[in-house]
Amino acid sequence: MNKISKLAIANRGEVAVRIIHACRDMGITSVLLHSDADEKTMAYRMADETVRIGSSPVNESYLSIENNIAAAKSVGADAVHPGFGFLSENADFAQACADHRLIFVGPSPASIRLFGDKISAKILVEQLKISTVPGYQGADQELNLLIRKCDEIGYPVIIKASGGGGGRGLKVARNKSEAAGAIESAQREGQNAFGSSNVFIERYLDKAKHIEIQIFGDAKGQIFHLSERDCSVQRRHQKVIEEGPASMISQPMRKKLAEAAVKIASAAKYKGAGTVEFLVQGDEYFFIEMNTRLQVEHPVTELILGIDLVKAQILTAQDLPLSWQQDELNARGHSIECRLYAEDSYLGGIPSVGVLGNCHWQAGPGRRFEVGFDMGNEVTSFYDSMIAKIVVWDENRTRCIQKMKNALKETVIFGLKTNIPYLLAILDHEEFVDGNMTTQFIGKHFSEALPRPELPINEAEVRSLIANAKNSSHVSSAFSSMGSSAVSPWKNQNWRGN
Amino acid sequence: MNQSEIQFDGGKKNFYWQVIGETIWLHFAGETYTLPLSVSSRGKSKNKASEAAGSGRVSSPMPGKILKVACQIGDKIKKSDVVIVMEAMKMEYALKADIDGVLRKLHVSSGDQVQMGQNLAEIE
Repeated sequence: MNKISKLAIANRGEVAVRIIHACRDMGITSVLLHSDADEKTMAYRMADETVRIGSSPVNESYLSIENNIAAAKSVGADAVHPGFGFLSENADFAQACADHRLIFVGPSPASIRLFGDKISAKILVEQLKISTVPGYQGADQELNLLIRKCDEIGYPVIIKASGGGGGRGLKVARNKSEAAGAIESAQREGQNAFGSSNVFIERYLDKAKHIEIQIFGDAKGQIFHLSERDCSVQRRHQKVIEEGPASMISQPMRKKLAEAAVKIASAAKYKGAGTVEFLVQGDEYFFIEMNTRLQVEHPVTELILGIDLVKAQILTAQDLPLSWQQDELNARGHSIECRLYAEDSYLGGIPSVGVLGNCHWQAGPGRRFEVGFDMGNEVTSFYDSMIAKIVVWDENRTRCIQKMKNALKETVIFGLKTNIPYLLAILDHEEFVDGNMTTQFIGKHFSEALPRPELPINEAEVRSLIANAKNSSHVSSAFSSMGSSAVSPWKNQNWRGN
Repeated sequence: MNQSEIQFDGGKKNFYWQVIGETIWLHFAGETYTLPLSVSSRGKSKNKASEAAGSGRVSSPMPGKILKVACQIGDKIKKSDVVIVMEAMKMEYALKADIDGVLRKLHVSSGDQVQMGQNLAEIE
């Protein structure tokens, strides 16, 4: 008799849908723990059961340990899957699950704590004689000392909230005049988002690729390495496009990274899915952090290896074995993932909030759509604006890029602006096509808004076709108005997120 | 999903469309466009002049919280100076001046919750 017959999902959007799929495929009852804003979303309608965990603000719902635990217990769930973000890397939550006899689908509280503190993670990795980025990680947090350390390390530097992760709580200072502001900003974000203003400083490597290794610790204690992903295409430290394998990195380097990742996970006796992130610059590689959760870009790995990571997580959480053999896990072909955000590509990527209209996801060979929202669902400012992911697989990188461009062009999303034009521009860029992009890629080439294209078809004809169609009886999608303001408050802003 | 056929480049092509409130959304040849439903409201959004010139007004682009007010009333401000730092959708945004001038009015302080499009400060 398996230990999990009912699994509560402490998350939302496309990852909640993803976990529901795994539950269904395994005959497990799924329970969605959701906030008010997420009623009537796709995950809500797909889940076998739903429990409200609070009002829309994250602190009152998705970040509330008590509400999630109480909700899971109230329906007799055996286990909780935390998804990514939210409480997935909160050791207190993992511990609270254990205390309440709920199986936490993820690593132990000790592993989460060890790698969640980015400084303790660095110290462990250094003890294993694996390179980390040179810098300062001392306990003395006095502002003038921190500024002096920035000077000593040499600009540019990156200041990181030690409780941070996932690209948040990071500020770059390019010269001494930026140091104080960057430190204070990182401290603020660290305090607000992670409950600690403690920061550490690293030299900022500005010619590096972000290469991460997917690892997995099974119930028997074997650590698998599951190929790598290149996530260098980032905007303000948030990943936009991910791909795998890292075909631009040499085979010997990839082997070294995999070995280092396995060494780190083994030292921690790690259980479950994890990702070890490195910066690779020339012949050198440096550990930056380990993420103790399923990652957004996990489908890339699933497609190049033909595996299901979420099912593997659920099996491992029940101490059941996996069917994997390390020597059979060889990446085949190439996969690219694009994150779709509700934002206006022609206004520099400012968020587009509102109600989703009609969507059309064009299925086809080697195309996977990770969608969390339907027509009528609202994208709000309570949560991030990622609405879906498109992931494609093809036999090599060139074909993969072409397939992704087609998939993006064939995708129709009405009601909200999206970053699809932005993604297409990136996929067309010479540096991306050559595969040599570093983490500086977007900052260097895409800091200005894209030029808005003119409508290539006759506008008057469009209007008359629509007017005629509206007058005839078979028009679909009567859709009640969402009301848009005539002049966007964004237009009068020299808007830049920092 | 509505589809219609239109003449293009010597042949006929499909486009997807949907009317939502006062906006026509359409998708043609891999690109999505919007048009105002009624032609008379077109003037404002196509007015390039109103996009190029600044207004001196600093408004919140979306709901969020004011983290820091970087200037005081009476300060000389240059275009692109950071006036206010706010937090929205889990990230910090630096709101900048769109003209040179002097900060005349400040309507918020650190910690305030603001709506989308709220008037935060005025530079003249």
